[in-house]
Amino acid sequence: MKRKTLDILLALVGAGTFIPGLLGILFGLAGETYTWRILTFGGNFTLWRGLILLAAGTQFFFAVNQSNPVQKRAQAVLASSMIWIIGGIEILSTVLNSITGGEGAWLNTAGEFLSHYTGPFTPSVLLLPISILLVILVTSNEAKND
Amino acid sequence: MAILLMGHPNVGKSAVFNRLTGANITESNYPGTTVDFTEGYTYIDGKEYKVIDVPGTFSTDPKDEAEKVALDILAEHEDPIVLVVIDSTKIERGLYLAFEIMERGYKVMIALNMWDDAEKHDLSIDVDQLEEILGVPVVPTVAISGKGISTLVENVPTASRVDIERLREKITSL
Amino acid sequence: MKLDPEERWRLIDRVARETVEYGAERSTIGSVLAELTVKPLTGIPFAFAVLYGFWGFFDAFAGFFTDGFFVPLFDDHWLPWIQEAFPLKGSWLYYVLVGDPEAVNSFEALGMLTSGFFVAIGVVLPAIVAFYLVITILEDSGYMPRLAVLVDTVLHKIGLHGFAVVPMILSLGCNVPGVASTRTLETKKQRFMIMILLSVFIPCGAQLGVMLSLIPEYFGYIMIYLVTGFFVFGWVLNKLLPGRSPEIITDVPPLRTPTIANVSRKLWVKVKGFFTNAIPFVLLGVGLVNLLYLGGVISWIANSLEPLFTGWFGIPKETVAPLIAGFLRKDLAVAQLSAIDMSGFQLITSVVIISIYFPCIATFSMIIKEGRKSGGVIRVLGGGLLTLVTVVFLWGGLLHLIGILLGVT
Ligand SMILES: Nc1nc2c(ncn2[C@@H]2O[C@H](COP(=O)(O)OP(=O)(O)OP(=O)(O)O)[C@@H](O)[C@H]2O)c(=O)[nH]1
Ligand SMILES: [Mg+2]
Repeated sequence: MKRKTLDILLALVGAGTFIPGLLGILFGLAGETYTWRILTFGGNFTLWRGLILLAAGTQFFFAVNQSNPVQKRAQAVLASSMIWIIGGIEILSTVLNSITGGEGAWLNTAGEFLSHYTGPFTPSVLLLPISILLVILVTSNEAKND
Repeated sequence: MAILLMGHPNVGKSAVFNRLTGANITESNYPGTTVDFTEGYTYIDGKEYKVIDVPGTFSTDPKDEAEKVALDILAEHEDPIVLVVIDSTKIERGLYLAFEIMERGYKVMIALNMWDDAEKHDLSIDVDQLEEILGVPVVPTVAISGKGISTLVENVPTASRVDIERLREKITSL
Repeated sequence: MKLDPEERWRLIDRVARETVEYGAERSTIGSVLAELTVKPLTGIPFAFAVLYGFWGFFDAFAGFFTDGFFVPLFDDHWLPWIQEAFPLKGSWLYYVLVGDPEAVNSFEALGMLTSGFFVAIGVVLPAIVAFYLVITILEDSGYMPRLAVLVDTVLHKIGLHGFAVVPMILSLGCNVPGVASTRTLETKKQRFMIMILLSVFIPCGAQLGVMLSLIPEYFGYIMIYLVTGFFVFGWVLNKLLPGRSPEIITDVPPLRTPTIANVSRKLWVKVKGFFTNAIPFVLLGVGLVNLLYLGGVISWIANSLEPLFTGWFGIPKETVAPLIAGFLRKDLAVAQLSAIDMSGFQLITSVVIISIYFPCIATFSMIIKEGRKSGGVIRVLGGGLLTLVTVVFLWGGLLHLIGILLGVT
């Protein structure tokens, strides 16, 4: 891939991470839950997740700024892995929450179980597939280029 | 007969020990995991060997208590076989410790551990030649997968003392 | 025959040149990534993400088992059954083993078979499994020593030198190996300092786990106060004690992918250790406290120490019982504290006191063992106790003062 294209891509993903991060911080500070279509801000530690997304977005911008191609890619992987940590935890707790039942029941009913997976989702979960694709792209290029 | 596993911290001594004895001692990607010694047993050609996992040491003059433990163990055992475990990607410093031990007149053999890492770094080591020069068995191993461990075991009986004078001449004339 | 170091290096150089062929030294994404994790600008945000991940994982995992399964299991099934089924209601044996016959949750029943089992299996077990799982992955991936280097870099920036970060991080798992690992430090002064600071200020994995699952809302405050104490008293001890504390150089290992085999084996060893070493102590702790209650010892101690507790530390005298249990297991002590009726700030204070007032028995015996090698048992214990008493009074009292100033007492 051309350097230019990669830079544009990184900048886009960076902005796509940075902005929700900022919003997360704001909603976290205000203590509000906000939902728009399948995107939601809220739940425990919204502020923290916002801060980390903001930092991850910044790391993507660092990557755009790097001239050394290996440095650039590593920086992108680092930023993506920060998204994975938050998104991964989010998914894990969704899965675990969907299993346990409420009062007096050990397990959830099938309908209740599925209702956990229809969204809305936090930004890190939505960013997860994008950042995975990005990392696959960036690392598969390594073998060819150098 | 005792086999002492010696080497720098974090080269995989405990991993080799677990492979040799089937024990379960802690391996961590962390220098200084083992600060005390652990003993186990293994049978080679029907003979029982006591295997000892020794705390990591940088050299044979101890700088801290963990290294002192290591050297006490070395001094305690009568005529042990010292299996020097070396991180293949940092072969020079491993050899330094091996030399120090050979100079003290112990029977020595060498495991070039983390061989997989060496391959990943495009590092190639001529094992046969190294063995020929040093005059002790040298075996590439990957302790986490068990690769080379059986060769290591086969070579235990051939561990040998090194005549440093001759070694020096040999190396100088290379 | 012995060679001198210079000649040894010369010969080795020769051998290496003959037998080793180095590939072109090129940096890969992996190796650059490894560097990025220790550079403050990139490493600190990443470290925060990792800590968040730790916390989040813990919250989800321990919450799932404790609140989802063990709480209903113990409260709805085990507790009512044993309260009925156990004979001799009203006897001292019933009190020690089952506790309060009217209790409706396993926390407040206070018997060995009720609260003891519940705390050990229902609370601590999920907590330590979650905790050690993450720790093991961080260890095996090689991230732990990187975190250590990062912390060290930051400490240097604020003028703190020569702290042993590796034993500190090990201590977060369990103080016992933390204390043992001070062996890798060079001078007696360092060994003494770190040993005492670790066992006083760093809560162990089991305690951290219980705090995270029972009082997550106060966890951050407690940790910040303890870690600050670590560095404040570290700085003071470093100034006061004679001797050197040289720089500690950690060899940073490469990043590796942890193997499932090794992670599960280590986890298994830990869990097995928990069943054989920790559970008996938890049960013993509960039993001991109950016996002391029956004997009137606890109320006697509580009444005689009341001025100190309420006056100096600002915590209720009922915290005496958990403090006694804390000699055996700090995790149990925290669980018992969380069942006592008091304000949030008092809870924070009492958990801080539980952490610092005395190391648990296992750590204490390790200090004695290691003390022998670090300047003699008497010196280490004497110095240690002196430090301990000072710390408990000053640091514990200071927290009360902070509370008064903030107006939250
Ligand atoms: N890739 C690779 N990793 C290895 C190999 N041998 C050991 N390891 C890993 O390297 C790390 C260190 O292994 P240990 O066995 O704990 O090292 P040690 O020499 O006992 O270290 P100390 O006890 O600290 O002196 C662990 O994470 C092992 O899983 C190997 O051959 N290849
Ligand atoms: Mg070891």
